[in-house]
Amino acid sequence: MILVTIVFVIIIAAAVSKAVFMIRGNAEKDRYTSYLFLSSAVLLIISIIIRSIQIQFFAVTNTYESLIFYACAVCFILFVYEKQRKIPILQGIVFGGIITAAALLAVASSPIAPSSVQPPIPALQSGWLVLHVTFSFIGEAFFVVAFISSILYLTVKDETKKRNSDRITYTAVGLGYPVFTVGALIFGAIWAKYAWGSYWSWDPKETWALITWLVYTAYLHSRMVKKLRGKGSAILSIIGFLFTLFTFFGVNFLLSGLHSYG
Amino acid sequence: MNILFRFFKSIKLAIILILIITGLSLLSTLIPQNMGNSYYLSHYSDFLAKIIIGLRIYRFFSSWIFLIPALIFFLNLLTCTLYRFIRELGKKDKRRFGPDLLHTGLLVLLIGGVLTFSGRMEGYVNLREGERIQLPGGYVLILEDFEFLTYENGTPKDWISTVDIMLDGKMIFDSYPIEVNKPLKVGEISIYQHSYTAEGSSVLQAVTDPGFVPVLIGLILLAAGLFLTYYQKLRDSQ
Repeated sequence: MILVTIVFVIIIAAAVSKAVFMIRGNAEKDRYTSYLFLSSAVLLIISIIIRSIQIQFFAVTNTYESLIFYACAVCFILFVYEKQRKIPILQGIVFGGIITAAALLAVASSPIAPSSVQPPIPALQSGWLVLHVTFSFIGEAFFVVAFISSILYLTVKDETKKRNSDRITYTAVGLGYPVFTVGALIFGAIWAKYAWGSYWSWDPKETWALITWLVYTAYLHSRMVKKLRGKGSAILSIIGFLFTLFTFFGVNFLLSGLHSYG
Repeated sequence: MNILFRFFKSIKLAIILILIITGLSLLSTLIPQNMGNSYYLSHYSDFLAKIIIGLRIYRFFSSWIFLIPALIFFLNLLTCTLYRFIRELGKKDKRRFGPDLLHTGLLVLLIGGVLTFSGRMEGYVNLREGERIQLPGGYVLILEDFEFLTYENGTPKDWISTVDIMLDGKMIFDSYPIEVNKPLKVGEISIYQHSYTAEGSSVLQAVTDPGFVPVLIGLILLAAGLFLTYYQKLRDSQ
C-alpha cells in the first residue's frame, strides 16, 4: 500500500534527523522528530482503517496486518516517550526504536508477509481475536523500548545513563507485561476456547508465547535479587524480546501448528 | 520443616524454576509431538529416539520431565504467596496485595489446568441434515440444516449448523445456529462447529471441561492482580 511506503519514508527521515541531532550533540533540543513518529502512527492508523473496510473486519488477521499494527504501536509509544518528562529518555533508545519500526515495515513489504486483501477465515472472526492481537502487540511495543534500553545499559559507561536506561527498561516492562499478559495469554485463551473448544493446546506458538512470558516474569523477579539486578536483568529483557520475535516469525517458518495464519 | 519452608519460599528458587521450565519447554518445541514411535526411530539417532520414547518426551507436557519441575514450582508459588500475604497483613500501611492476588490467580489457573488434563473429554460427529445423535446426559441433537457460506472469491466465510436439542421429549433449543466461534452450551457440554466433510455433512465437536471455569476464575484473578500491583506501585511511588 502506498500509505505504508510513505510512512516508511517518514520513518527513515526521522532516523536521519535524530542521527544528525545526536552527532551534533544537541539532541535535547530536538523538538521536531517526535512529530514524525506521531504522523507515522496516524498514517498507519488510517491505513488500518482503509484495510478494515476492505476486509469488513478489524484488520489484524494475518502477518502483514499485525506488522502494520505493531509498527503503529511502536511509533506512537516512541512519541509518548519523547514527550514525557518523568524519566530522561536516552536518545539512543529513540533512535533504536525508529530503526525497529522501519524494520517492521520493511518485513511487512517483503514476501514473508503477503499483503493481498483477504477476508478472514471463520476461526478468525471473533472479537476476542482482535483483543488478543492488539493487546499482545501493544505489550510487545513496550518490550521494544525495554530491549533497546537494556542493550544501552550493557554498553554505556556513564553511571547516570546506566541508571536511567535501567529505569526505562523496568518501567517499559512494567507497562508492557500486564498488557501482554492480558492480550497474549488471557484473551488468547478465551478466543481459543471459543474457536477450538480448548483454551490451551500446547501448540508451538502458544508454548513460545508462554516461554516469552516466563522470561519477562523472570525479569521482574530478578529485580528483587541483588546479584541479578542490573546486568542479569538486562540480559533477561534482551532474551525476552528476541523470543517475542521468534514467537512471531520463527514459529511460523520453523515449527508447525494451529497459528498458521500469523 | 523450617528448612523445607525456607527452601520453598525462596525467590531465587522461583527464578531458577522459571528458567528450567522455560528451557525445557523450548527444547520440547524442537521435537514434533504426538508422533508414533517409528517416527522418532527413523528421524533421530537410536540413543535420542530411546530417550524421547523412554521419557515420554513425545508427549512432553504430560511427561514427568515437565510435571516434576511444574509441581515444585506450584509448591514454591504456594509458599511464597502464603508467606507474602501474612507479611503484608502484619504491616501498618502501604500494604500491597496485588502480587498476592496475581499469584493466587496463577495457583487457581494451575489447579484448573490439572482438572482439564484429567477430566476434559471431547468427541466429534459427522451429521447430515435430518440426522440425530444421542449426547451424554440424555440430550438428543438433531441437525436441521447445514450451510457453508463463502466469500465472493470462494474462500470459506462461515459454517452454520442449525440444530434442535431435546431432553426427555421436550425441545430445549429450537433451530439454534451453531457457528465457528459461536458454540452452544447444553448443560455441561459445549458444542462447536468444527468443520465439514467433502460429502457435505457437518462436523460438530462436543466438549466437557471441568477445568475451564477454574481456569477462567484464575485468569480473572491474575488480571485483577496485575492491575492492582500496578496501581499500588504508582500510589506508593508518589
